[in-house]
Amino acid sequence: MSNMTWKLLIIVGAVALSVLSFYPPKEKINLGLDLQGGSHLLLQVDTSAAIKSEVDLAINRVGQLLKEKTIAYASIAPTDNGVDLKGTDASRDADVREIFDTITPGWTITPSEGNWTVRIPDRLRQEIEASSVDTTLTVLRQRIDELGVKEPIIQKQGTAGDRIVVELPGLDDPERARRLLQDQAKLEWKAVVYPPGTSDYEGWAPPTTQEATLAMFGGALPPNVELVPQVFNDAGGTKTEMWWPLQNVAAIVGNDLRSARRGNDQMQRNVVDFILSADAGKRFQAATRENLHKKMAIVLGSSKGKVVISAPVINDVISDRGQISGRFDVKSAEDLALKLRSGAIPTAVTIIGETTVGPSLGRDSIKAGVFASLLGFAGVALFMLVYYRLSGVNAVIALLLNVVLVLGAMAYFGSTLTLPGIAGLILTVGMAVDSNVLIFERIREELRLGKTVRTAIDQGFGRAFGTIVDTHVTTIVSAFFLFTYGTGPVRGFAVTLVIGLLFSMFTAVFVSRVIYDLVLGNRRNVESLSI
Amino acid sequence: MLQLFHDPKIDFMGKRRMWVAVSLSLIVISLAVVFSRGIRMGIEFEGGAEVQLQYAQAPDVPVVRTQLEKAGYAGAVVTTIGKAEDHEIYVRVPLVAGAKDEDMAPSVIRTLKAAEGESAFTVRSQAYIGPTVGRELIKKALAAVLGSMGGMLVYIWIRFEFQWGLAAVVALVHDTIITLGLFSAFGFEMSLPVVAAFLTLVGYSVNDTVVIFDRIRENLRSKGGTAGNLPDLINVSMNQTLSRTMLTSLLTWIVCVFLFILGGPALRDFSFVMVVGIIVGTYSSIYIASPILVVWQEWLGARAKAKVVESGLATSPKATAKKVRAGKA
Repeated sequence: MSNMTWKLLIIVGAVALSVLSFYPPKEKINLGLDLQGGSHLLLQVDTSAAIKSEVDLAINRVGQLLKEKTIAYASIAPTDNGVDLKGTDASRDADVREIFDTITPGWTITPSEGNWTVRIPDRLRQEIEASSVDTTLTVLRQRIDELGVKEPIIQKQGTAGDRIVVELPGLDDPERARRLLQDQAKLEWKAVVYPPGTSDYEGWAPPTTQEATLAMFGGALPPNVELVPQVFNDAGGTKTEMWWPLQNVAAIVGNDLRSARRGNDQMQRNVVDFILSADAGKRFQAATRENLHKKMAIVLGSSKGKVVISAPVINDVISDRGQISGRFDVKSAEDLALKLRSGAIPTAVTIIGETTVGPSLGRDSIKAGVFASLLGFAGVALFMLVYYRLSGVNAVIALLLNVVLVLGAMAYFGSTLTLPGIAGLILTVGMAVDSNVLIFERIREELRLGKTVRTAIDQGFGRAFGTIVDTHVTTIVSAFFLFTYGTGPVRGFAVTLVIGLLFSMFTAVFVSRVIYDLVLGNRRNVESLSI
Repeated sequence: MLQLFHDPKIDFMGKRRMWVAVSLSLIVISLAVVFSRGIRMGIEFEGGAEVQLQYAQAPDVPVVRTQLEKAGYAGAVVTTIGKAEDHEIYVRVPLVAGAKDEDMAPSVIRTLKAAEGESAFTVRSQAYIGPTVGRELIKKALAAVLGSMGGMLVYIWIRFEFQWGLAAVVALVHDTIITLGLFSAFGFEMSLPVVAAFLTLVGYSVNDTVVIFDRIRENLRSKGGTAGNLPDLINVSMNQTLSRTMLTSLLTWIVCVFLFILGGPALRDFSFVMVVGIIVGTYSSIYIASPILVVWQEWLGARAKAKVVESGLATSPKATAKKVRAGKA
């Protein structure tokens, strides 16, 4: 095949591929949130909650082992960054160390006459924090999947790695998404700490104010006890509370759940059935045995604090199956089950940025953007035709190909078209035409110097090439900085611009040249050029 | 053939002192405007909440404002946007220092629904930006603008010589400041797309300059590497590229004007920067960037009169000509 045939094949192939990639555009071109509507959320992850729960879990397990090995101690308490165990029997030091070595491997253990200071070293702390962000990411992904949003984006962002971007295209209920994203859904089972002198464990219920509960303990809570409210909303709209005194350290936490589903109890009330993991089952067994015929509270932690959702009496030793009851309707039972299934978010998540665009606004933006672009394109095309005549036709063909190739590449690589991206596309047309203008002006100059049409075309393309490379590189440099700085829509702009510029090298330099060769190719002596 | 300029012989360099003076005063005026009027910052930089609502009936803006103030949103901005018959309003509420506000946009909407009825309007968009995000974005935006200017300097330095890069960047700073001045004077709002427009402008403005530089270098090279009378040579080069400069700028400008008029409110601030910036950028690549090359040469000449030929500009054509040839081979 001749050189020319190859060149034509390349051009036709590229165009065909592009058209195949983006046609029909409604299905193949990814629209940004600003065009199709949807929510963009920027979440800040606070990892200190993860450290705290790590510490709590350690205390829980250490406490249990100390009991099993009958090692007496005065107190065990969490700190910001570890555990303080006080007053152990000095003769059992080796045993205590062994417990810490099994439960908290890698932590720094400093004993001092029966007092143990156990701390999480910095490196381990960072690992825990990093993995807590990853877990948060996974949990959010699962919850969003269950929301049924099409093609959501959930990814880490920021140099510190403690931010998460969530993009939910076409979502019509942003409120529900916010609740689902933020709700920590940390489920804990905690033993009720009865006030001194309580005799009826099964019938005891706490007072309705914080102060009254405190008063039962003589004004101050014992160490390692916290007050958590249970809230009742009556049909009449009145709100009553009960303030439960609970053990600080949970017997089991939500992460220990293997599954959770909505179910019904014997009275056909909505409940959540759950199954525990094997390890948690063992711990739960010990805890329920200890609290047999007493109450244990089920505490749900959310971004708004902790609440008791129910405080049943433990009638049996439970190992791996249980039921949560607590005035649920179908939806709230299902939502709770969903949150428990997807696991607790091990961190605290706050929304630090949110943008929601309704679908109608997006449609209007597309309309305005496309309309302006079409007119802009028509203006440029008309000018080129009038100014350069038949060579103008050449330029307009190159420009059209440029737009087709850009759309094709965007569809092929799955990049997103945003509103600034539409502006970028049409701006690319303005810049792509620059290459044609550079070449044509150069050809005109060479013609004026009295060169033949073929030499003029040769030299026009040849001499303009270096300049074209320069002008493209400078714009790509600024688009690169744009991309590194920008988020969402702005990145879409940078991507469109760069793709457009790359293709304009192809269309203005290669395609236009081929068109000239094609038109002038068979004639021996070309006397004049319409330019 | 249709031509913008028939063999132009405009003496661009002759009045270079005047144009430099004009530019310097424009820069001073622009800086004065920016510092006295300030620049309206969009929500993404300043933080706060904004909602865009479409009412069924024509909304009463003062009433909406009072309702928001009654609900405790001090300093709420309420304006109509778009065409009057669209009944659209835009509400912006500033951050409250120290408050935990992540529920801000939804609660603004709830407040207005409670006051005006559930079906009084539909929500077109809502946004909330916390304080940390805004501060970071400002830093990032500045870093991007400065970074891309630095990138230009380095690229042109590599392709030409240091002083050419410097000249191009001075022209860039000039364009950015004057455009920013007009942006502030007309009261447009700085947003992420506007920063994008400024960055595009940086690229675009260098474009123009580089085309002229390329031609100056080519002409220098054809004269065997001696600058001769540099202002004359620059004049010739600029006249040669004048058609292209004006044509390209005109075409891109047409596109941006269409975007400005028809692109809808979301693209207006963005395209304003381009509409103004293209004019300023074209002007500066003719009257600012190239004169700096002359000023540089004069400065070198004053320092070491005898060495003009060997130093600075005079050596550049050979060196770069080699690079160009190497690049093509």
